[in-house]
Amino acid sequence: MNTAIVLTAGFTWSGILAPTLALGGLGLLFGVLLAVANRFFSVQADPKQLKIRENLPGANCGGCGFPGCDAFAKAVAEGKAPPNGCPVSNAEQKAAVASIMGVEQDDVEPLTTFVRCQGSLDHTHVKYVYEGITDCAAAAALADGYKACRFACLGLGNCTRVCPTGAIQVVDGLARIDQELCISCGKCVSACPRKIIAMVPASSRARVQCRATAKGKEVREACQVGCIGCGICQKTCAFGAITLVDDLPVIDYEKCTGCMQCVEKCPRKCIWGDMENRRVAFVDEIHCTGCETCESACKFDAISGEKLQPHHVDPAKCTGCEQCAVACPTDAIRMIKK
Amino acid sequence: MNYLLILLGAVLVNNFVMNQYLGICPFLGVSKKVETALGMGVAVTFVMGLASVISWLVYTYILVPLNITYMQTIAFILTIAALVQFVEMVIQKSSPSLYSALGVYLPLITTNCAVLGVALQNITKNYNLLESLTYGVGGGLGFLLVIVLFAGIRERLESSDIAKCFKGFPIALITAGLMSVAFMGFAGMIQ
Repeated sequence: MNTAIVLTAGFTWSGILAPTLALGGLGLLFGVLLAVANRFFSVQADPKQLKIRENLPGANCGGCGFPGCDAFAKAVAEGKAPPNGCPVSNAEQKAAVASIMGVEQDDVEPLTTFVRCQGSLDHTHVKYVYEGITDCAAAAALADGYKACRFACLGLGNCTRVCPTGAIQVVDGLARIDQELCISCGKCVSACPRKIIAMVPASSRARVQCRATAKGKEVREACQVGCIGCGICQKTCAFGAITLVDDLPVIDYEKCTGCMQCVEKCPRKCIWGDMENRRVAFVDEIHCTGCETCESACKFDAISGEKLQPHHVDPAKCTGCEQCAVACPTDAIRMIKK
Repeated sequence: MNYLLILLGAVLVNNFVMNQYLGICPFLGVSKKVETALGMGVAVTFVMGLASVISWLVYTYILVPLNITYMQTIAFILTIAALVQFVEMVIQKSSPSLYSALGVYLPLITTNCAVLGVALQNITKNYNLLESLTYGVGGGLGFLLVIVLFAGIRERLESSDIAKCFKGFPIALITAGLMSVAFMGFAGMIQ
């Protein structure tokens, strides 16, 4: 090395000034050159993208499925990702991103987690005693799991371990999610080797609670509440929202009105229904013109009345599907708590 | 002839990655696909060539006259950082797909020790300007060669049956080691 150490010659002002000025000047020169280059080579970024980026946490955690916040902001700006796709953002940030994209926060359908299995130990039985490591994937690999149903939740808590908020508990061999604690980050969805946990629209009122695609006989023998693919729900649904795929009903939430007929008619009780929030139609007699629009909109014969006279809803027949309220031209029908 | 020797020496015999173990981070990081490896290699070659020229100029015409050659590391890092910023701008403008493929590794060229290594070695080897440029470009081409070779191997590794415990980085590191051993075979050929 031919690096000469000048400082040993003793302290001089020029010994400090020279390197300071030289390196400072060099830095300044490069800075100016870069600024000039930036003029020629600058890329017009989507202003939306920049704004969105400002409203993201900037943790670059990758929780959204994109490599970093910049990539996510780009995807949102291009419409390839939902505005609320960032699991880390708080409600305020999500609302800001949504408003940048020109959608109201309410327009963004929030998702929630849902356990698509009811195979707790009192519904299904055990084939053998599993004594391996506490891991659902390992248990699933051993003769299709220790439970009689080869689709069932194995309850060894892969989901519990990844849940950042401790919202999942395994009770009676079945994962159960505390919706109060769940932040819908989706980590459990990818952790479950049997794809038992799914993200469903939070507003959906009927959800299929089974994953068994096997033939009816096999399911019947394995579980008391497994879907046997009988198709009664499909026939029952007055709105054509249910189709059977691989002997399992699939609910189209665009069409589902939450009438709960499938929930009630399912012989195996494997469709979950949001019974707590069930409503019933109520006709406000002052506004009702007796136009009979609601009567023809009702698929359950729950509304009756003479023409041009106020109509009435039979609460015993009303399923709370809201079709009458949607159809009513004078907004005379309200949905009230049952 | 001297220049050819320097070039070949930098590419094969004193290969920056395989024989001097410099620039391992992008070598392992951006070698999953041949296409991006090629882009990275070209970017590094460009930066190395340019960095050796500019750092040589900075050293000879600023540091030496002012007797502040002990500042060379800082001065070189400053030069390289500015250069990388510039290259980043150019790539972002000219090839957005390459820009997104290189991702975070592009700014990391700044801290790529192969680039700093070539600048420092030019000084210790007492090269003149043209020799420095040759050594820089040669070093970059050497990097380009091994990263593309390595990416080709890794692409095949992806689809081959590897024991689970070796999948991904372990087998990549073993492969890099074997490649290094192979490159050691050039030792003593020149110089």
